[in-house]
Amino acid sequence: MNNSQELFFAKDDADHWAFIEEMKQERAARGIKEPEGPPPFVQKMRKRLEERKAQQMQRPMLQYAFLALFEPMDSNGFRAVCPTIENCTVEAPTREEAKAALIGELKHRLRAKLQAGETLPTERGSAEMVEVALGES
Amino acid sequence: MPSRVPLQVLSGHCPIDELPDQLDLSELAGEMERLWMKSVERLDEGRAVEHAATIVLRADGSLKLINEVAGSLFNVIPNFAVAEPNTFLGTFHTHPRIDGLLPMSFSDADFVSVIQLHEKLSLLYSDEIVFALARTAATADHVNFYTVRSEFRSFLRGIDEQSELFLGAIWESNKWLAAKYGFGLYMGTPNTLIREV
Repeated sequence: MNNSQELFFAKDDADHWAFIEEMKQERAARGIKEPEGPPPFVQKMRKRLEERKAQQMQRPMLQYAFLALFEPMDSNGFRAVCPTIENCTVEAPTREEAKAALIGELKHRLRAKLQAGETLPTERGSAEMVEVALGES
Repeated sequence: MPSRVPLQVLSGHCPIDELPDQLDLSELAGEMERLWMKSVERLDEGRAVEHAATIVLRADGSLKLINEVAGSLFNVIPNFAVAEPNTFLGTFHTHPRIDGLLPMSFSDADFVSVIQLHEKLSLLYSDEIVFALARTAATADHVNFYTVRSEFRSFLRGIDEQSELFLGAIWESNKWLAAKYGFGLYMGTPNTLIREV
């Protein structure tokens, strides 16, 4: 790794591995034997994942309903908006994909609010197509 | 389908205290596992080869690994060419070893390349464990390689003096460097990663 540019573009671990090998040999010389099997930090991580999974299984499913608006865009595709959640807008090539993206975005936003200890907004609006006739008094 | 990794994380500008507790990378899990298997397919012959790919954000908001490349036991050079409508996010690479010292987390050179290349997400697969560095609003823009190498080694030696667990010491060095340079650091299975820093 003499060329400094190479440091940026390569995932070059040659020096790193050499250093690790050197340290490994030093440790062996000191009589330290590496334990076999997954290291404790991996075991700890797996335990945390299992605990989270168990918590999720026990948590009751929370269901919310929000009003969503879909409109075709000039540049093709669809925009989906949830007016109840501030700045909650997604865009996708099809209406179905926009719907899926909006649900994903809502999940993310609602989970973030729950984690922050905020009260979740409730939908108070309802959709209705209104007709407007011009020319009447 | 849009990625399950929040867009704020993929932007590379997420405030560090707003990083999610876990990342769902299930959309990339199959590809990551396949590249790991290629990395160690000749382990019986005493050979292993680092593999890499480029992580892109597609127009539909999903993530994909493209530009698969193979390197050597010690390094791999990703192919960074990304054409529209894909957007470059970062790189994926593997850390196979033939001596069983696994899983091996990021190296000092990995940290430097992630910083210098402005990778927003960098993924590393080693022995069924995935490590991830997420760039944040606090991540350094530039860094000197020799400074990072010196810091990494000093920290590792300091821990190693007290530690009976070499792999754990290397992982602690990763956590220290991630905190110092403003990264979010995650570790987990290919599907779900837990935030460690």
